[in-house]
Order: sequence, then structure tokens, then C-alpha cells
Amino acid sequence: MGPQEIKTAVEDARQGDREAFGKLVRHYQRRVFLCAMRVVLNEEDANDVAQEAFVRAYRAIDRFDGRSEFFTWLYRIVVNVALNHRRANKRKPTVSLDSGASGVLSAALKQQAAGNTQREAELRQAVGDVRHALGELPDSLRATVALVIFDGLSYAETAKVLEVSQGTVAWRVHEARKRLRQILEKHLDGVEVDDR
Amino acid sequence: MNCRQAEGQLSIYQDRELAEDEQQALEEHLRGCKACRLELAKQGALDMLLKRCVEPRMPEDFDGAFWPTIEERLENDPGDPAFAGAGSGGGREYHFRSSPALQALRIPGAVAASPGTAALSVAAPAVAELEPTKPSYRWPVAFVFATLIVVAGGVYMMSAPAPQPSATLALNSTSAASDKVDVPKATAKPTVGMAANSDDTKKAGTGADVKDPFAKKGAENAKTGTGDKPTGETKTASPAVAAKRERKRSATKKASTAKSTKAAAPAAPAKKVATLAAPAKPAAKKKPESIDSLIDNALGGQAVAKPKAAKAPVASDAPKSLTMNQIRGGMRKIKPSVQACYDKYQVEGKATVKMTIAPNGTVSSAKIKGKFFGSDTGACVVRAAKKAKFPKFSGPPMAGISYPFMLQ
Repeated sequence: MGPQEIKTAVEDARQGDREAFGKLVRHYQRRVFLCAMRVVLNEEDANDVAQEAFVRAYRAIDRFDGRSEFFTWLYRIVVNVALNHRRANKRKPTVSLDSGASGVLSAALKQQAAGNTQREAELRQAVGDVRHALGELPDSLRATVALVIFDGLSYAETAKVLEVSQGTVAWRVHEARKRLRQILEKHLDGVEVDDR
Repeated sequence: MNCRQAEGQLSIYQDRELAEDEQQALEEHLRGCKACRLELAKQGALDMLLKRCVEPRMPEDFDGAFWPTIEERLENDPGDPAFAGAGSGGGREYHFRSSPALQALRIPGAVAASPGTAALSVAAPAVAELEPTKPSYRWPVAFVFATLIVVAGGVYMMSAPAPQPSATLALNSTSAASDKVDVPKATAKPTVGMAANSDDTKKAGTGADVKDPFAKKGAENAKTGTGDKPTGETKTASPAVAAKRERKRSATKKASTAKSTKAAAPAAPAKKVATLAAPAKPAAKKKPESIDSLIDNALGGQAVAKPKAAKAPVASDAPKSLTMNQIRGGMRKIKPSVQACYDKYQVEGKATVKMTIAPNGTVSSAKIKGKFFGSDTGACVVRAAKKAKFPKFSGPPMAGISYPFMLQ
């Protein structure tokens, strides 16, 4: 969908055209899912969060005034829903990589390891550590990391989605990297630079 | 530039957000400082590690199944902008959790018809009575209300002889049989963003040699965080609390027969009150029904047994809720009346009516939102909205339905 098609679909959806909204969903569903995944760190939950975000967007679309990009508006909903979900599930056990819920990931790891069980164990270890490290971040840092590091949004865009200043975004990214480094340092030991 | 200053800018540099002059100064420093180059390289490796380890895999048939699932949810729960709906998301309930009162009252793992269920129902009217668009008040009010109920229940229990089996019965008498309810929740309204979309994925290399962290050996055997298990703490509601709830409800009923019966038998009351109150299910019944049903949902849909008599007096073959088209159809019929409001007061703009539709198809409450709030035009539109008629349905009242009219 091009920008004009998106604009038309948004306008139609605002008039209650569900099929038009369906086009928007199909256009953005993957990106929304990925964004949700990076906040909740669980594919199954991310799917639920993505659905919930779209449902809320549909309910609220008459409040979307069209002055901003639809995707930015949608992204804010996704982040809010994902953070709410995360807060609501703080006491829920983290899904193990070995469990059925993460079977997709396990399969991917196996594939990546290409039959090398030691490599697979290393990958599994790294994935577990990274998810644990991300899980330790406060919500504000995690959401910022999701937008800046994973999604590649600029500080300005991230600031608008999260309704904070660009300076705050910069500090959060810096702080998040610092904290992640503390937990994941062992995976970075092999990094070297040339003498010059 | 010294190393300390450089360190403070590496993250911004990594994200390519540094101003040009600062970037030049930093690069100048990096050329002569191996430690900072290493720092930057590790930062780049960290980003790479994060991306590779949180590389989501799309669920199978994601593209094909995603929209139909959403559409189904929209179909089943039309019209509520604050919808948090009981969806098809595998029984997850997070959509209810952002309702602070319910969040506070939710009992992990509570079994249907357990005393805990009754406790939830007792406190639930507090949620229903709160203004859904002012979430900031819900916490304190719900908390105070819940506290009062608990204290009152305790006092009652100490003063009254134990009315043993009443908890479940009392609950049953007021529960709705619907598996879904449209009650607005206190949700952070999504606000409109302003940023431009950016599909470009910036951030490439960092200028330093970075070895794939995966090439490295994994270290000691740390496990994925397992978090805390829900403790399954259960608030037990004494039968006295359930009886207290019945007393409160009965007090609001107009039916004097129910009142007198209750007054005659205060100690073994719940069952009797339930039996007598059921046929005369009037407007006062509406909120508790809807909340009970909501709580059933919040407890994972394990509804307690609900007697047919407790339901609204509508045809049993009626749908559980209205579809969006049915709502639109009903509202379309009052458009001339709404247009007359504009003709009379000549004020243009969007008038959004928020209303509750009762199971008998009438509008039980309507409010105007936005710029017309408190205006003559707004009052006129509300009067028109209250005259709207819809098909009957068997579920709980549909609350929080917003419908916009363009006055021009």
C-alpha cells in the first residue's frame, strides 16, 4: 500500500468501513507484531498484544485526526498495550525456551545450529541471557530500546511515539545499553579492534 | 575531547544521531584512542547480539489468520471504543487487567463459584458506578469501596449468625449468563502521534571491526529467567459478605415484596432473596449483572451457574449482543432528530454520544462528549439518542458505545 492508499483506507475506516481497516491491518500486522514481540519478548503474547492493539485502534480511529502518520499513531497504541500487558503479567513465569510456547524459536535455533548440539546450546544460552537482560530493563528503557535499536526509529520519531524529549530518548538508549552490557558482557568478550 | 566525553557520546554516535561537528570531534578522538574504539565496537556487537537473539519468528499462518481473528472480535463486541473485549486470544485476560479495580480484585486461579468469586462480585458495583472516562479516580474510589465492603462484611459476620450456604446462591441470583460484556475499562486512551513514519532501517556498521558474538563460546550455564509464579492467593469472601451484598441490592429495589421478605428473614437470606428478586428484574439490576459477567470473564470465563430467571426478560433466541450494523441501523433512525438539533441551534461540529443500550433495545443512558458537552445542542442530541431503538438481545447491557454525529 502506498501512502495515498493508506490515507484513503484510514479515512474509510474512520467512516466505519471495516474492510478498509482490514487492509490496514494486513499492511501493518507484521510490523506491529514485531514491535509487540520486542516489548513482551514472547511470540504468543506478542500475537495477542498485536491483536489487541488493532482492536483498540479500530475503536479509537475516529479520534485519529490525520495530522500525523497513521503508523506512528498505531505504534503508540502498540507500545501502550504491550507495556500494559507486561505490567499485568509481571508475576507470570517467563516462558522457557524449551516450552511449547516457544517451540517456534527452538526450531529456529536448531536450524541455525545445523545439527551442532554445542552450537545450539550456545545459541540457546545467548538467547536466554539476552531475553533475561531485556526483561530486567525498566519498561521505559525497554520500550525505547524496542523502538530505537530494534525498529530503527530515529530519536525524534521515538520521542513522539513515547511522548518524551529527544534528550530523554538519548539518555534511555545510553542507559539501556549500559545495563545490558553489564549482564551480557560475557558474550562480548571476543570483540576486538585493530591497532592503528 | 577526552575519553569520558567520548564515552557519553558513543551511544548517540552509534544511533547516528550526533550533530555533525560533534561527530567529527568524536571520530577524531576515536582515531587515536583504542579503548574508545573497543568500547564502540562492543556497543555495536551488543546491538547485533540483541537483534539476533530477539529475532521473532512469525507464528504459523500468521498472515492468514491474523485479520480474521480481529474481525471476529470486532464482530462480537461492536461499538465500544474502550473495548477490551473477551477475544479469541486463547483465553488471555490482559484486556481486563487494565481496569484498575478489577486488577486489584482479580484472584489468580480462583475457581468458579468459590467464595473468592463472591468477594469480587461484592466489590464490583464500585467499578460500574465509576465514570469510565476518568480512570484516575477509579483506583482510589474502588479501593475505598472495597475496603468499606470488607469492613462491613466483617462487622456483619461478627454480629450475625453464620448464614452458611448463601454465598454461591447470592451470586447466582444476580449473575448474567452472557459470556461477554461490553463494559468500558479504565484504559490509557491512545493519543494521536505526530511523527513521520520511517521505514528505513538506519544504523549500519559502527566503523570498527566487530566479531559476531555468536562465534564466541557461551559461558556458564545461566538459565532463562523463570519469574515468579502466581502465588494463587485467594481472597475468601465469607458468606456474610455475600449476604451483605444481597442486602445492599435489595435496598435499592423498588419491589416492596422483596424488601419485606428480606426484612422478615435476615439471617438465612441469600437464597430467598435471590428467588424473590429474580422475577422483578428492573433497571437497578443492570449494573450488577454486567459486572458479574465481567468478573466471570476476568476469572477466565469460568462462570458460576446462572439461573435463567436472573436474566433480562428478553426472548431466549435473541442474540447475546448487537452487531455494529444493528447499532448503526438504530442510530440512523434518529438522525433526523439530531439534524433538527443543528437546525435549531446552528452549531457545527462532531457530537459524540456515549450510551448504554439495555437488553430490551432501549437506550438506558446517554451522554454527550466533546465540545457539545453542557451545551443546548448537546442536550438536544442526548434527548434524540435516548429515543433510539434497537433489536432486543439476551446479553448484559452494552455500555460505553460511542456514536458520532456530524452536525453541519
